Amino acid sequence: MKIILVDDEKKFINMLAKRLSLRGLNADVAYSGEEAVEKAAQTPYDLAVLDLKMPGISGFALKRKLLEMHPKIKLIFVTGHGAIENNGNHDHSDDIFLAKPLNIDTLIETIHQTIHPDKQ
Amino acid sequence: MNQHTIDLVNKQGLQFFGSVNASISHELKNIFAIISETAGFLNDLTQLSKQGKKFELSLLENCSNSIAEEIERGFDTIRQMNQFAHSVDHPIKETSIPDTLTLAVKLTGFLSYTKKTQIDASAADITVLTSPFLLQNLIYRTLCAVYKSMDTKDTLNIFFHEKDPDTVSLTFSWGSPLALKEFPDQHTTDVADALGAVISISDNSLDLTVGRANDSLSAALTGKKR
Repeated sequence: MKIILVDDEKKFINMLAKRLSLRGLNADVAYSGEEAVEKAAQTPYDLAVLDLKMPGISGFALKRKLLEMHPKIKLIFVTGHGAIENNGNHDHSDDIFLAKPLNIDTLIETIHQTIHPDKQ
Repeated sequence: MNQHTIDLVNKQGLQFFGSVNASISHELKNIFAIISETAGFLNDLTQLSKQGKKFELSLLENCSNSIAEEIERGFDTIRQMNQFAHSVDHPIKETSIPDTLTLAVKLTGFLSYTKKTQIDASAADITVLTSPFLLQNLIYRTLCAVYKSMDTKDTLNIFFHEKDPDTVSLTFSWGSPLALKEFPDQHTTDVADALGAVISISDNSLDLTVGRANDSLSAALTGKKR
């Protein structure tokens, strides 16, 4: 399973990648939407864990770009906001959101459920 | 200034207060998220150690340094929150322009679209007798509008000087010519009117001219005449 974690909070995303690695899930990291697009051009990711609010390309804009590149990619949004802001007229009802701070077990369970929804 | 304007500005002031506090809470959540993940990683290392697995001690040192740095970042954020909260203590007071600019830049620094910003440090302190909260509001709105329009790689430079004995000028200057999007909007115009401030915009800069004193604002907010 190829995973990319995207967040401008470098320490957060690096630590999350280390903790996932200890649990057998290796993930690439990108510190911006632009870097994520560059990496996605090289690697067909199965899943992206995205911060909603980032400088430059926002989480929702990145979602559109990643889906254009890899239509089957699964997405999980991570947000520090109490409520999910719907920027623009986009339907995000099917998106998965997790709030910061994350629970690593919840994240892993969500990753597996997102990749293998039939095994729920 | 009539009652309608005061009511309008008060309502917008509350929205502004809420908006800034939301961005501060977002920043604090990010800080707690890093501390939480780092604490979780320390717990992971503890479990590995219990299983007899070895790891570099530098990992522990890095975690401890990271937590200390994030706690300091959190204290900084709370200091700014506190400073902002106290801007409503006095409806009218002698207000430092560089201090107000510095706080506004720090508060907008929590927004995802913030840009690199430099405030001219060579200028001497200048004060104006005004509403510190409304002035903060006007500068914050100005910064937000400029940041939203600026290129990510550009730097915003801010200068301020005494234009004449009665007025102070704040200049926001950026590199490439740009058209500010929907600025000043009605809210900003209302706040500027209440402050007696004038907004002038060109392709490469924006000027805010603020009076050193505003008798009608003082009278409206304090009920006293100077």
